[in-house]
Amino acid sequence: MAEVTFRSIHKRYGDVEVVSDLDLTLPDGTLTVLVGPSGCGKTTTLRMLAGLESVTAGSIHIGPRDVTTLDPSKRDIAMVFQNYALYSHLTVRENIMFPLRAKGMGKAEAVPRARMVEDLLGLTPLVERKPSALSGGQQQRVAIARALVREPSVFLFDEPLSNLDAQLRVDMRTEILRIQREVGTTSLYVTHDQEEAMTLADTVVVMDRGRIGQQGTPQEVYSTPANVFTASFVGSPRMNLMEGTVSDQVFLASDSGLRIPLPRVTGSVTLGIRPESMDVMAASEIPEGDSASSSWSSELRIVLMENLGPRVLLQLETANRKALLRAVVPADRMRDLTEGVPVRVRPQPGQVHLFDPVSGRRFDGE
Amino acid sequence: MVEQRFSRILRSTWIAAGILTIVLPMMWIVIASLKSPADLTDATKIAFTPTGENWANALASGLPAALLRSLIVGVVVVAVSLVVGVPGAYALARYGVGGTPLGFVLLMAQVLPPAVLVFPFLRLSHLLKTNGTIAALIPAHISFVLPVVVWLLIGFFASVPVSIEEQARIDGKSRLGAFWSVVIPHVRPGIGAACVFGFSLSWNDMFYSLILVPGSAQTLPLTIAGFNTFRGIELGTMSAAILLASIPMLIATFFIQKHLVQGLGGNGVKY
Repeated sequence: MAEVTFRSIHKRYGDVEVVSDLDLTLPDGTLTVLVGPSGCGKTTTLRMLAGLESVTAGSIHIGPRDVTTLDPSKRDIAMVFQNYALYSHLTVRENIMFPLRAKGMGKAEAVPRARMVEDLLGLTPLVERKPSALSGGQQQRVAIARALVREPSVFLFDEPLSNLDAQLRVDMRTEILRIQREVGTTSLYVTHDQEEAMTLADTVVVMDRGRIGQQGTPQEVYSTPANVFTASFVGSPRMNLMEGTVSDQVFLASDSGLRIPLPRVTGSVTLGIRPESMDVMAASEIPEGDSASSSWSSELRIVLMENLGPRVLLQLETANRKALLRAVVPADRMRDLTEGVPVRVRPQPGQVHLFDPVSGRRFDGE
Repeated sequence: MVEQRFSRILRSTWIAAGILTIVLPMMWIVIASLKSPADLTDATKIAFTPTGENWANALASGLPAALLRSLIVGVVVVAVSLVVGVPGAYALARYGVGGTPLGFVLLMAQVLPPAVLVFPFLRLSHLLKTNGTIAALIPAHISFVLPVVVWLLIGFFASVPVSIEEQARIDGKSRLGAFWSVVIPHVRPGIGAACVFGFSLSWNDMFYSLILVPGSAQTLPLTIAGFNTFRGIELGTMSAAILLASIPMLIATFFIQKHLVQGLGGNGVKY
């Protein structure tokens, strides 16, 4: 058990700075997820902690130990790779015992410990098999068992679920979470899948071009994104983001001319509204000139409807086709909404995100 | 259905033809080795009284000694080639050491006519005072066995995922420890194939043998050729000798044929 700290970490390959000035603390016993698009430096960060990549500048500590230049074998970590990295010439049992045997532990001591984790992961009937005789999900379990067996100070997961099919991915996600809670080992988990990040993490760290875009609980990152990047990366379907200016309590999108009433703000902003926090109504249902009509946007048309089961994702377009908005509405609202119908939208109260159009940072107080 | 059966017949015929092409000459040699000199004059004669005379002659000649010498040369050549070639192929596959130029040199070494290197090797044997002994053959054989071993193993090393080595290092092994305990077991089939293939190249070499160690220390192929005497070819004895020389190779090849195909054809070389 240990806290992990990255102190002003830089990583450069030649002229390219992959990670710049990264400061990050993984609190003891928590699961931190690094998430971001490919090339954002998340995997490099994980590999620096593992000792598989050198650090250009800065230091990494596991508990009180400075591990910055320590060999991977001496860091007391365990890792699950994307391709599981099982030793194909060894049986499941031998794979699981490998880290113990590498430390010089005798068979008599190693076998009972292997049995314990095999039990935990339901691998007992498979221990004599070779990895090639296992399914993807089973291979994944072996990789996790091998990581668990040595009781390391830190667990590292490098996109461990991306080779699994959708159903299995969700199941294994739950399983990883359950095990992490049970053993309480400090964990760093890398993924490009924001949904995976949101469901697993105690702390989500959104990375963008080698820097931390935002760090916080999944709820914080989702409900108060610190910048345009995080706002667009976290959440599915993606947040609607429009640049424009606000005057006379109306937001006017600069490219499409879409107008959305927006009280209490003035000046140029980037407006963000999540698809699921937008009300949609057929234009014909809103009485013109009514006081209520003043809270609705100018007209859009439904161009596409995607059924998500209990909800429907609408793609909305302005008349000049310059803006495309996404809105998610409950399926039972769809009686009066079909493709081609003119509609108007309205952000739900308190669900508007405003960002500085120059720096991309969130305006405080919104 | 009819088409399927037709294609099956076609395929079986094709395979049978292939087997016959290889097995028939072998059978003919087996038969020849059992015929008396008189029976040998008629190649088509199937009914004859088998004789052990040719085998006795072959075993009584210099053949067993030559076989032993070939074995020693082959084993030493393969051992040296592995000691140098295994780390070499690993470095080429993993780190692209030497890049394309070195790959080209490796390929060149295989197509180079051996005659080009004869003088250097003769000079070398004089310098090392190994001329006329089988020790003179060893560097010469390494010159063509080592490139083949490296070439063969590059593909095998390239197919071992880097993450397995990294995993082993995280699991507590040093770099060298990870190489030994994880990478080597993964390429074991390739090493087996390289052994047999390299050994057979050395075993079958006649050219260097002829020039570097003519006299009493000659190797197996030369001894077999020696049965073509000034009194004519001793066909029966030579047949027995050929069988003695080729049976070990046949057996070895049979056991590693799957890996041999994988090693030669299955893995592209990646730089």
